[in-house]
Amino acid sequence: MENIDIPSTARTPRLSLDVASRVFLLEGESYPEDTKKFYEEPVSHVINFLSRSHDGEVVARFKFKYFNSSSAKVLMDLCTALESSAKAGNQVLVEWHYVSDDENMKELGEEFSEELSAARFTLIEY
Amino acid sequence: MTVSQRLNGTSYLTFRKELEDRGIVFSYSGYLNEVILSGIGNALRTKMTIDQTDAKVSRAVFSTFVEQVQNVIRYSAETTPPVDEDPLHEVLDDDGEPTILPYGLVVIGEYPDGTRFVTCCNMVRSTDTQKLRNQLDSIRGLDRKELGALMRQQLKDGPPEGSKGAGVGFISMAREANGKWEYDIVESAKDDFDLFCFEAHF
Repeated sequence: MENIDIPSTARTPRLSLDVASRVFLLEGESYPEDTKKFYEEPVSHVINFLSRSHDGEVVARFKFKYFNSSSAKVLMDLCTALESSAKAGNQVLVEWHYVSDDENMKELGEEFSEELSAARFTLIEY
Repeated sequence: MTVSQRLNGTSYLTFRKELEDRGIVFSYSGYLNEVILSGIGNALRTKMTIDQTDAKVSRAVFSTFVEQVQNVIRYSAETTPPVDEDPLHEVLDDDGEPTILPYGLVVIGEYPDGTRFVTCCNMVRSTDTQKLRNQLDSIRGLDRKELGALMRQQLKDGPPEGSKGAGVGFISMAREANGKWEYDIVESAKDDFDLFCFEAHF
């Protein structure tokens, strides 16, 4: 499988997948002009990656400053795929990073974590 | 011979004063696109940083602004003419699709008691207003936690078949505003169109 590394822009996050180290990252702002157009291809690649069997832990690192409601839909799809991957036997860790005073982002992380039971979830303040 | 002058500076001073008297800091009325969203959003964030606005409030105001403007862009019933009515003047976007510009009103300001408001107005078809009322009334009175749960539900399942539930955008704004939001729908001078206004308070 190929790695992905899409640099961030003012309205879209950095999106990367390192296949060898099994780390998936979304970092920055997410309110794309066209959410589907931005996410569709890389996310389907990531979901494909998650559907395979992996020897070591798979880490999904979310580090958002802001995301809009149409991006939230993509995050929900990713959470579903992460949970399925864990249920299928992979070790999956979801890291939700938030800026120290951003209670709302922390709360959103907690809400998404309710979709996860087989996958481990951790909140990280930065 | 006197040259007649149409420009009346005083009228603009009056116009500006009315905005100021209503606490309006940012206002835009006209055709909108995503670039305008980026531009106003950027200036809004900068202004709030300069004003040392509480970080929590700034984030909620910005987030609501984005959702509101994206709603207008997607749902305004008033747009530049569809291409089939005016094929000679079509402008294609990056994907080769004809560009249609929606018309809307975006306002951000502060009431005398310090409450900030983010307001958007756009035309909706009169035949759609009841549905819109039902959608918004279905989330009225819900608190932050309830709105969060409802949002998650809709993100997972989408709105149930034939649902009158509000879209994720409205639920998200209502949540950000901790349930402090209002809407109004008023008859417009334009046949078959009403003006829909949504306002969130911070």
